[in-house]
Amino acid sequence: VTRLLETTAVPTRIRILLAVLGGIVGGSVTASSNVLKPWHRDFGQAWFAGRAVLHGLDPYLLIGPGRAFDWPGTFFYPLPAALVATPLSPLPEPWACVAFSVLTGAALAWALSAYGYAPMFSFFSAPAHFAFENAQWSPLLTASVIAAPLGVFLVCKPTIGAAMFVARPSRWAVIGGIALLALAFVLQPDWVAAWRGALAMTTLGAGAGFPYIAPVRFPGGALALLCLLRWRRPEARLVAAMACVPQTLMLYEAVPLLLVPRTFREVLLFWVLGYGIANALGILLPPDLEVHQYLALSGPAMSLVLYPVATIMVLRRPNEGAVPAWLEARISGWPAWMPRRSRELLPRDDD
Amino acid sequence: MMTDFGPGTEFVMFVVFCVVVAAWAALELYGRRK
Repeated sequence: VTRLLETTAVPTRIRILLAVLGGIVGGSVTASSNVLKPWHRDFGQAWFAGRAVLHGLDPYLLIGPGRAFDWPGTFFYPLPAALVATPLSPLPEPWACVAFSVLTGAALAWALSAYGYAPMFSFFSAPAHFAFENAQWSPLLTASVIAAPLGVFLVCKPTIGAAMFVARPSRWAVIGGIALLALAFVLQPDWVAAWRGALAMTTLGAGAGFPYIAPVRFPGGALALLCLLRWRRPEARLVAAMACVPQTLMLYEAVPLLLVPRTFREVLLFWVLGYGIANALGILLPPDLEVHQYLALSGPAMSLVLYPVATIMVLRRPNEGAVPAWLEARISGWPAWMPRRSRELLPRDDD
Repeated sequence: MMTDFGPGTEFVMFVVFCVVVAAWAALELYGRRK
């Protein structure tokens, strides 16, 4: 067992098997959530928007409180998110959400197994569980740091998407983003105006109702900027960028940080801290709380605990990693004491 | 880091995303031509 946990390279066929299992587990969590809390999941918005687009309707007018798709907020996602959801639109909403989590679960398992068997335990962490419960996008976008083709989905959620691109820029994200945006303008030329209108009219954002806060603004979160000392490493750029991105600090937004722990001890520590936060929030907060009450505690907790720990893990590693040839050539004249090595550390799937 | 624009942050980050991706693509193209 010790030898397995210390393995850093998992054979491709076993990674495929783990991805299949991850898909089954991810889908099962969403399915059980559908049964236990039978209401819309997060992906349900994109699913409905995809249906609307296929019928030539404006999804930004149909999603919201008391509308055709009854949801606390309006449709916050850019139209490409709806386009990506269209292949699942023929399914009923609960099954579409399960299918989405099967895909995102498989993607996350594939990504985590890139570093060995030990990181796979992060799949069962609180952020991942919370993401699958809500059929959230974060596991899919996280996987794009390892599997470059998944970068085409970054434009669907540009908050985390921007951080993932900084961690792992790829032509997939560029070409996929352009293609999805072009298709969006063909299908609904005024979608940007419609989207902005929906964002402006939602009452969910009134006052402190739905704060978007960058972790760097909390004590502890600012420490994540130290990761820039290891700027060659994708996971270092990931933590620093995530800390700077304003986001709704639900626990599922911490899924990208799961790419940081590599050894079994690191993974175990992150697992304990993740569930520690989840359980503490469950105990401290009343069951019928408002979103802003939850975020007022979950944001500082994530910034105080997960970001500093991820930062320490990153800082214990050397500043090594591949950067584009043009950047390598540009920095070749740097002083000798500055890191200039270009060694591929991450098992990146080919562009 | 950024001011909280409420849900409007989604659009602000969309613009940031497009700028970052476009800048990287331009640098890649420039670097390859050189």
